[in-house]
Amino acid sequence: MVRILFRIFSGAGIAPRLFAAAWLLAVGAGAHAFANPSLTARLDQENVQLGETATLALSFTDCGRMDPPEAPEIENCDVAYSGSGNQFSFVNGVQSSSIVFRYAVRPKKEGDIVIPGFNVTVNGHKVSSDPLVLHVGKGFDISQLGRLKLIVPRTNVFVGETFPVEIRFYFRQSPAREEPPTLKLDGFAKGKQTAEAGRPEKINGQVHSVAKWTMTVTAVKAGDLVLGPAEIQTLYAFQARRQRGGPFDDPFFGQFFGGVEQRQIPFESDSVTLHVEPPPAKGRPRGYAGNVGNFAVSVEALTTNIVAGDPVTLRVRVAGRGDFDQFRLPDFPQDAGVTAYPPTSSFETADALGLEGVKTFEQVVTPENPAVTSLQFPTISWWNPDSGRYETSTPPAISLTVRPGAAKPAPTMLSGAALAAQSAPAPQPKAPASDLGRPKLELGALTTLGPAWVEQSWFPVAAATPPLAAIALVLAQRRAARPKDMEALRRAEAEKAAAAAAERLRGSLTGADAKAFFEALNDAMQRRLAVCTGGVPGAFTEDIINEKLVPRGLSPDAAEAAHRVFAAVAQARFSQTTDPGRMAALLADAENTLAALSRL
Amino acid sequence: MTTRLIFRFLAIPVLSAFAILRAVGADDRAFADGNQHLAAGHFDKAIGAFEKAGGGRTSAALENNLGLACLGAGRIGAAVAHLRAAEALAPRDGEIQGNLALALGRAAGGVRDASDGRRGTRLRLNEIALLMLVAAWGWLGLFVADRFKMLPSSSLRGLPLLAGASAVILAALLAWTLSQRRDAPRVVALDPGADVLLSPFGEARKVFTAAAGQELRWREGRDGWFRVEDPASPSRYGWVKSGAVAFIPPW
Repeated sequence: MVRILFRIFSGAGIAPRLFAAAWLLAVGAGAHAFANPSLTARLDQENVQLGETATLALSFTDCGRMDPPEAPEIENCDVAYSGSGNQFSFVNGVQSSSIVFRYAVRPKKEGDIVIPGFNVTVNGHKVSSDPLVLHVGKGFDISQLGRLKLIVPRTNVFVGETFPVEIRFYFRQSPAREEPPTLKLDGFAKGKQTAEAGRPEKINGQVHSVAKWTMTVTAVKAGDLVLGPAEIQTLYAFQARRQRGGPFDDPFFGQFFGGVEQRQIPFESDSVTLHVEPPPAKGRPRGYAGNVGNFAVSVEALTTNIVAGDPVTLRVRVAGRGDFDQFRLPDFPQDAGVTAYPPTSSFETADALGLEGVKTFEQVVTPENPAVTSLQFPTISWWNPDSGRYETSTPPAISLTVRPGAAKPAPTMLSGAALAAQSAPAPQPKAPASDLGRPKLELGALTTLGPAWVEQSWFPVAAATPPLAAIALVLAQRRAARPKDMEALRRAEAEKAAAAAAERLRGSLTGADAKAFFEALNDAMQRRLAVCTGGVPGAFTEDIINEKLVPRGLSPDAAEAAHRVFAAVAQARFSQTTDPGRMAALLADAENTLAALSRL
Repeated sequence: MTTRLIFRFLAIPVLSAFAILRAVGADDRAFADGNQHLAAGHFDKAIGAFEKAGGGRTSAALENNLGLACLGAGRIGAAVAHLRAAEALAPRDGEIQGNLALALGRAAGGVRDASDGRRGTRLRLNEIALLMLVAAWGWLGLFVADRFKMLPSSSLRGLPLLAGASAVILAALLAWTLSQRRDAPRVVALDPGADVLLSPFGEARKVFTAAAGQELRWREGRDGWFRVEDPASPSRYGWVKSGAVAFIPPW
């Protein structure tokens, strides 16, 4: 192997050498993954108050890939895994990678808590950390802020019974924010939940506001089961603790600079032990399907006049209070003379929790022979926890009028889902090969099944790039075109001003106002020169004629006329002529000059 | 020297191509063996042969025949899963549709349309996405050419508009198809069926049993459990062990 690599990589040319370097780097990096494995334990804060949470970070450096270690057991603390992250560093040519696992540590007791060092074996390497000390302050009595209470209607319930549970949060000071409460459920299933504000209540002589959450809970197994505790996370805002005696130890400064300290405060209720027993075996009706509640049942047929072989749709209405989600209809007996298909159902609730309401089943049955002229729906039974006994309902038989006709196939509207709900899956017999569908004879192009492109992270980038690139191109082009537009705009405005000034000049001669005539003459010349040379009107002197205009092609006659105009304007500052003939000659010189300048 | 260089740089591609051809030959042989076992009614042997073919990759034909072999062996859940995969790879293949309808019918105890509950176009999501990307990038190219006045003829000036409109229409079609398929079943219950429980722990009460081959909506996964929903009755939902169901690939 080494010899082959040597032969391949020893050739001349840059490509084999680059390839060799990349290969060696990759091999080196792989070998480096376990070069100096180490473990570091760190707390984000060493001082916390009772009720607060510190974060313990276990940083595994150069240990390779690994799963999170189980949450360490720390005396007098609740510890919960809260997430992980990766860190890479490349310092002085030394590469290292770390996986950091974070644990939330919540002390349960005041005092110093020693977090022992950890000894972990990772990928065959033993790593260990130093012990840490967490100083836990007294905190404050959260019962002064509020309390949480779990209320159940009774402590003896039956398996399958659904009952409401109430969680009340009594508080004297309203939290800045609170999460909905959580309820520990072991052997219970949670249903719908509602939230509302309760009426204030007095506890120990003090008025407390009340927030109330109500939810349905269903017991799913028998025994003495513990429900709760309920827990609610709140966020309270307090005046920040400030160092006393400082120059700003004043309520005035505290108002502006003291700030508000936010603290997350959890409240926990007591738990309740419920005695859960299954509905008694004694007196259990035949075909009892596990329904629990207080119900009334009615059955009707949507059609009773049918052709032989036609299906009949039965509508079963179950009204009352109980666990409607799990309410099941009994199966038709084998000798009922009908083929029954799985029912569909809908539920109209009468309360926000879904405890009371009406569930309507629709079930299609097909008489197996024309001799069946009446349908007897099987007896429906349930355990009523209110009365403490089984109750049954046997609907009256439904008479059918069956007319002879051609046999029809069974309805195909029913899904496997509904079928499975009513009957356990029967073992599937092996089919003869001739009953199978059509196999393919060519293997075809092999590919890999994976998530759709739209579910992959590169797709939004690929889809959004064309419009974004087009927008960027348009903006860039507009930006590039803008200076030219501005220059053209400026030239157009200067041209317009020059034309207006020339027009004023012609009008000023008829007014016999020498001052206005010379002002208009100067203005017209300056503005035309501004258009012609790109300068600022008012800044041009007679020198520009020889310096710029003549080199650009101003004719000698026009240059001479321009000199005369500039000289007349300069003289007019001291003594203006009022001779109409002289002014007309100046106007002619000015118009010749302006026309010549326009042509430059 | 030149000969040595050519040999050195050609050896690897030639050897790789030879290895690929050899693997392809082995895949074809395993596929043919599977077909022979399938025709003879030796379904378990056919499944074994088909599973060897492909070597980690698959094709519509392979999934179709695996589905038929599973169907013959009475493994309805696996049959539906494989035929759905075949449908995802070749959504307009009538034979696969027919075989899938047969398997779904066996699962439901009646006749089922394979497109039951599957609304939208018969195009695969990837096909629509590819068309949309081609239209969008084509539009970008034409747009740039137009902005820099590189289009050869003034009669081609309408092309960017046409390509842009196509990209927008295809993006709308993609969004509509996604919305239509959002609630489509994504898992199928494997044999012998999957117990759907009220909560994600083994002692929880059973809500219902999904028969082998029954398709369910997938909502979330947690610690080896999937929260699923019965498409026929959305109020019936619960948790099922992840090993009791198979994912239906997106189509």
